Parts: sequence; C-alpha cells; structure tokens
Amino acid sequence: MAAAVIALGALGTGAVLLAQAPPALTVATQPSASPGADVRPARPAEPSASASPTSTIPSGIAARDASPRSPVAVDAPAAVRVPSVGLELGVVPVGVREDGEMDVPDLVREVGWYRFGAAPGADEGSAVLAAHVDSDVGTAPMASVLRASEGDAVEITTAAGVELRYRITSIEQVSKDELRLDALFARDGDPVVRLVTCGGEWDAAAGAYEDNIVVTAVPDPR
Amino acid sequence: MQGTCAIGAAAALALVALGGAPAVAAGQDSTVSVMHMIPGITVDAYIDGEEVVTDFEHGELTDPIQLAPGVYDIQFFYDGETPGTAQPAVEALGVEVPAAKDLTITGNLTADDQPILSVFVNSTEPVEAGQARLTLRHLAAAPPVDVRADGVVIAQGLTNADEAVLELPAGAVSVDVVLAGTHDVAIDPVDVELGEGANTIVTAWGNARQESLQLAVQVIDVHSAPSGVPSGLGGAAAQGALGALLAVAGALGVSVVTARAARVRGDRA
Repeated sequence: MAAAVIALGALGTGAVLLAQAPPALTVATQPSASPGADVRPARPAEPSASASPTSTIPSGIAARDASPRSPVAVDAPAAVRVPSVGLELGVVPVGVREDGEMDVPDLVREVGWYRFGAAPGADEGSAVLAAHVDSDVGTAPMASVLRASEGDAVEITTAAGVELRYRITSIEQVSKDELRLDALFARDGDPVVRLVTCGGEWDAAAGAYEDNIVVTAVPDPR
Repeated sequence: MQGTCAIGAAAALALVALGGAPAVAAGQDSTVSVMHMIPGITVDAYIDGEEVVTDFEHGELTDPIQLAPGVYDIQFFYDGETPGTAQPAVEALGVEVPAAKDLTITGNLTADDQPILSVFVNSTEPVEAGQARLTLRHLAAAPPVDVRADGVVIAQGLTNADEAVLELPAGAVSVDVVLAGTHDVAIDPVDVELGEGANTIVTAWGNARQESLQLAVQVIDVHSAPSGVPSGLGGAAAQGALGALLAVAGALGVSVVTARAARVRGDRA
C-alpha cells in the first residue's frame, strides 16, 4: 500500500506539471524568446493566418516520379540486451495474429519485433519489442526486465551488425483495457524503443494477464 | 490491488504524454495531391490562378497540399505560359474540395485520348493491422482492362475513370494489366509493394496506341495498431511481490514525465 500512496502522489505532481507544459512548449518554440528574459517578445504587426478566413494557396510544391519503387530495406533488430538485469535475447520479426493482436513469439527465449512499425534506429516512431513474461513451466527470461530501472541501458544489435544504445526513461504497468495502442505503436514522433511484456494479475478464465508492462527507452548514443 | 489500479491510471497518463498528441491537420483542411499523367507535355499547375507546381513532368506526383474546404479552379498551363498570356492545356473549374478528405487530382487522358482533370477521393478508412488496401485506377487512353496480381485477376473490366478498391494482406505483389477478358498484356508485370497499413493507389496511365501505358503509384497511410500485446502464457509471474515492485516502477515512470515538464519550463525562464 505504501508504494501505492507514493505512486498516487507522483501522479498528482505529474498531472499538474503536464497541464502547464503545453503553453511552455509554445513559448519555447519561438526563436525570438531569449533565455533568461521574462518578457513577451514584441512582434511586429503582420498578417496572421488565423485572421484571414480564406485559404492560402501554397506555392513551390515539389513533385516526384510516381513510378513503382522497390521497398526500402529495413535493418531489423537481431538481439536486445538490458545489461543491468542480465537480459539478453534474440529478436525475430513478427506481425499480427488472426485475431489482430501482435504475434508475440511462442518461444519465451525470443523477443518479437513488430515489423510493421518502426525499427530500432529509425528517425521516428515507436519500435515495439515484445516477449512473454512466463510460460506454463514458469517465469520467462523477459521477466527480468521488470527489475530494470529508469536510466538503465538497453542495447540492440541489428541484423547488419549496427549497435544501438538506449536509456530507459519509464517503466509503466498499464491495464490492457487502458493501454493506448496507437501511442504504443506510433509510427511518428520521437524515436523510442518499447519493451513490452505482461504483468498484473493472471486472469485464469481469459488465459491472460490483466496488464501490460511497457518499458520505454530513448536513444542514448555514446 | 488498489495500488496496481492506481498505477495503471498513472501509466496511461504517462504514455499519453510520452507518445505526444497525434498530429492534427489544421482544422478541416483536406489533403490534396496532384498527379500529372498526360503523356508528352510539361506543365505548370495552378490553383485559383496561383502557380502551385512548376515544371510538372508527366508521371509525377506532388507532395500533399492542404486546402480548406471550398471551391477551386484547377488549371494546367503549358510550361512557361501563364493565365495572363495563354489558355490552359486543361482545366477543371469549380472543383469542390470537401472537408477533411484525402483527394488526388489527376491530369490524365480519357479513353479517346482527350486530356482531362479528374478528382478522386481516396479511402482513408484504417485497415486492420497486417492488412493493406489496394486502389486500382484506369486513367489511360485505352480500352477496358483486367488487372492481375501474381497472375490472378483482381479487377475485371476496369474502364477509363473507374477504380477498384481491394483489401489484401500486406506484402509485395507482381501487378500486370491485360486487355479485358484476354491474356494480351498491356502493361508488363511490375513489383508493387503493398505496405502494411497503407492505401497503395496504382494508376494505369498513358496511351495504348502510342504504347506508353504504364503504372504510377501513390501511397496513403491508413494504418492501425494491433489490438493488443498478449505476452504471458502461464500465470507464473503473477505474484503480489511483483505487483509492489511494479508500483514503484510506475512511480518512477511518472517522475520522468515530471522531469521533462520541468525542463521545458526551464527553457522558458
């Protein structure tokens, strides 16, 4: 229960700061705002897009050849490591099952990379790597990710031998009902790697856990 | 259990914050792409008298253009000519752009070889994870055709200005075009990647008599996420102690969000 109280406290703080973040972001993107100066930048009067109800016609739109093109080869991840907890597993590309859920490998020593989403090392989007937390014979290797901490390194080796390094920024337990799949599998936005497994209570009737564990890591190049 | 539930809510919030808000198109603007598929001419494309694309070559597709809903005049002028000096090569006046749609405006040939501007509304309905949408269009000066994927007819008797929309598993297919009801190949097989979560629009264009029939491809994102991540098989990992451990981890996750917000505030100060 103590842990729950701490968590709720943190939630409260986070929510308040989050509410303040959007206006701060707006200001930060204005190049004329100088650091340290608590002033509103004076802006010359200029036609504002919002003031004109008529749509502006763009110019200088680029055009490119529309001939069928070969798909761009993607350098798939081949192995993932979280050295702080001794996690080291091979990665295989996976898609979706018949029922539309991600096709997590049956072998608990394998991590599935969602091949329809971003790959680790891509410029944007969420690269999702998922593995079972256990099997009917006990805890699986992926369960060790539950002991990882914020700041720990995640290392990924690609099929081409590229070494990628990430740093864990959050470890979340989310009810499967509340999991925002669009955000988890986002194809745009900042590049992140998400290690996903299961947690929470085992629902024997459903044959599944109630929650997902989502470990988010951001690029941490050395 | 209470703790687990509370963390669930916190984590959901954190995931929203880290994932960022989805990119919202400006209001009700529609996304408009222009394809130039009139063989043999280079044009400048104009919208409401404003030059939008310069030196537009046949076989080219523009980057997406955002247009507010309304009525627009679309014109192609021969390269170098302007509304002030010449008549357009082809025009469509009073084109209605609806709100929040994805349109392709094509300069193409009719079946009897006349240049024309056509407007298509592209399907943006998300496909299920793992699937691909294929839109086939016949915009060539050519008789009706059958379109085949890996040798199997997938669109039968497609006539000029027609389209067919299919849903297939994602992956590469070899597409060729034959005269309707025959095995007479009009366009040789071309490998087309049907990207997962994409609407791949394959357009046959050109002129059959001049043997210039070919395919053009436009791709629109219509993806959706998988419906879940089933990642436990047995229940062996469901333990009270594990729940407590994760409660702490959840709190850490939230504190990271707090730190991010604080940094942004620092930038402003």
